[in-house]
Amino acid sequence: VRSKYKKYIFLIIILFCNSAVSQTAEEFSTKTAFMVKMSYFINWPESSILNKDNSTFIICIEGSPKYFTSLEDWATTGKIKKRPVTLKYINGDISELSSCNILFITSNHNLSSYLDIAREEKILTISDNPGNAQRGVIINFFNVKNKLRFEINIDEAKSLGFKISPRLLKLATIITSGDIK
Amino acid sequence: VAAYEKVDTFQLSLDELMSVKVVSASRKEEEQHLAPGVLTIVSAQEIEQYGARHLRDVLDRLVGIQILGSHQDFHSKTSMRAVNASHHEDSVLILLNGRPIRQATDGGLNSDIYTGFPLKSIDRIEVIRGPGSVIYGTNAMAGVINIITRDAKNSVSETVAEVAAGSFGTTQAKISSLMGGKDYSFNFELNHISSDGDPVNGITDQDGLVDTYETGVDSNNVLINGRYKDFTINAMVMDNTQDSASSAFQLPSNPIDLNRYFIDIGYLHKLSTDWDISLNYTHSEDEAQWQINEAAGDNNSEGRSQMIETIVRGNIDKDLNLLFGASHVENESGFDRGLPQGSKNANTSAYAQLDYMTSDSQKLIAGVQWNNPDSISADLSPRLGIIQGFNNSWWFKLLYSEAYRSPNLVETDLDAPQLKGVPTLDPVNIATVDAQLIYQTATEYFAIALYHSKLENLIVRVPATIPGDPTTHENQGYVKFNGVELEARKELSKSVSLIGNASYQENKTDSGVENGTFAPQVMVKFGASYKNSTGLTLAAFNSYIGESTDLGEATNDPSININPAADSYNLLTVNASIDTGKMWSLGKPEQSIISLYLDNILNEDIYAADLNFANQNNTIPHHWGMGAYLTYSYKLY
Repeated sequence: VRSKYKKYIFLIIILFCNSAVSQTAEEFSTKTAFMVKMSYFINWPESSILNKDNSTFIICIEGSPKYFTSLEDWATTGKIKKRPVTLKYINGDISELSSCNILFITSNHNLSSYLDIAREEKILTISDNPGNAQRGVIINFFNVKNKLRFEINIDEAKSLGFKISPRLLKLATIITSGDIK
Repeated sequence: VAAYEKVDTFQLSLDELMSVKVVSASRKEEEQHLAPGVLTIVSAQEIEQYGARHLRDVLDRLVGIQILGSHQDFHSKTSMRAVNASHHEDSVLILLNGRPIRQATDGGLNSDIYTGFPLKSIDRIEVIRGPGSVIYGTNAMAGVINIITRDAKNSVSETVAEVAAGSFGTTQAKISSLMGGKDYSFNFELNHISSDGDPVNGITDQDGLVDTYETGVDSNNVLINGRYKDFTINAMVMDNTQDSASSAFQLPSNPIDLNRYFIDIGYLHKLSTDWDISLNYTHSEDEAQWQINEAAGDNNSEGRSQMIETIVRGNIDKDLNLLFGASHVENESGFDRGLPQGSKNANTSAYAQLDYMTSDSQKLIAGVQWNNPDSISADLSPRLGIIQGFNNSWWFKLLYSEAYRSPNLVETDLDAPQLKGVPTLDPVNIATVDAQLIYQTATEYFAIALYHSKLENLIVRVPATIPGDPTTHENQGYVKFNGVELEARKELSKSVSLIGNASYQENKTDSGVENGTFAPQVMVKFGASYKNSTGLTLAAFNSYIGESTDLGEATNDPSININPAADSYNLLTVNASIDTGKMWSLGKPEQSIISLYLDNILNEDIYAADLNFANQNNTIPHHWGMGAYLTYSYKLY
């Protein structure tokens, strides 16, 4: 057997110095945490299901199961609008949407059908696909240098009767009808 | 060096969330239903939950898979979909972060990978069953195993030290470190395993001697994966010794000593926002020392494989992706005895693959690979597929793919007294049709796959017609395979999840031999895990492996049935772990873990076919008896 010295060359590369700690989190849970915090700064329209039924706050996740699982732990004790939270996974069945208070859309499959029902039922729509705010989604996430940012389609929000706190608007990139091509 | 601290995002305010750096989670798991292959993904979390001493424990739990080998090369290959042409890894291709791990001499003697690959570094394993993508080249016939290691972009930077001790004099020590910054990621792991193994008494060797079969192992391995700006590096140094191995099936046991040095260096250049080009150089060296037989003594081999590859990837249109590339591989090898030093072969290939999302729920795939081995004429391997979604939950894949295996240097150049290579051999070809139906939701995944494969132009050993002449090689005949694979995962609650799979296959050669590839026809594997918030994890997994073909019957020589048959067995394992931080406030949560892995709890005597095809013996001991292994792992943030 040839000399085994080669393998030891690699050992000298070991570095075990960790310093300068910075806060970093996984993308799915960061987005869902954002969604929860944002809901505290938004008032739902009078005619929405939220103001008709005061039992639980229902968050619906469409598409990626990762967003659903990232919320599960928090949802066991977390509250929105002083109500316990129920999670609902949407399998493409649009009849399931009518009870949602928030709809997080993670794929663009059937986007226009989802938006039609969301408008009718006054559901807050959130997504993370480029261009979706222009397509009519109220809040849309995007990434700038590994930090999450979001845009708000203010005209869509207003037309449905959502009232958004100036504090939240200050953090957002505002999309208006003029931006929509 | 910057490090990352895991945060509970739900505890942060909006302003704090604005300043959190996000690590982009891999989309691969999300896109399982869109992958152009029949794909199973094993996550690091699953490996940790169910426990494993080595990679073999992990892969043995997957559908239709069994790690097999021979007395000469113990646990040296993955048997997938029953394609078992040899005891070497010649029908499954192993990739490290997408880069092929091959050996120059005979495609792969991979017992070092299955025994010693450092598990802490794994982010996930993607197993494609059926011929791999057109880009993978030779050996990706039955499937591809892509081991993807952690990257600081997707994982939390940490250093972990782990020590373990257990039955059969087993000791294991690992140290792994992942660190990353704005432009770089560096992963390192050192893995040491030493064990006396479970000695099996009463094994009969080819000379009729009854003795003890030793199964000890000594394995020292270093793995490095790095990325700096547009450059990548993957490197492995593996040093493995297995107690029992020789070309002849003779006792007492003699060891085989394997060494491997692997390095891949890559550069990715962004051509535009939609297009990039990568260039990789892959260099692998292997050395082995083993006994031919008691009279002839030891043999040594040294091999070197070099590969250069370039790939261009981009979007012609938003939904139309094109990938094309070319590679050139040169292999050089030699044995002290048998294979002349400086034996060489080479292969040049070019390939292209298009995939087109015609809508959010339909994807079309077309690809072709042109292969040009140096000694024989070029040929083409095409691939076609359609993936159709019916809503977010239901997906259907229909795939047709071909793949090939070039003859290796042993088959073309060996010049030993008992076995002679034939330089004019053609590649072995496989053509497979897969149909898979997938149902997935947030908490469940079910898939059923049906496949039909035709493996043709087999390279077989042909006994000499004149007594005393060596056995030679020849392309002849075909084997047809039909099989079904079921996979299921379900989260019953936040604490309890189930996982399982089942497979059935049958195969027949052109000469009418049924199920003669020495793989079980039936496998049923099932696991359950429980995890609670106090830091306790419990998981149990049982693999039922049906009986394998009787080697003596398949070779029409019952006289080789000198050891116990490869009967069906249940391999039951349990893994229990305690997070001392969560349970007893000793350390931070997820920092200090004690785990106990119980292997082969039913203490089954397990034998598997001796795939040497030297026709001297039917089976070898395949798995150690009941054992317990205690591990302590400590994380330095």
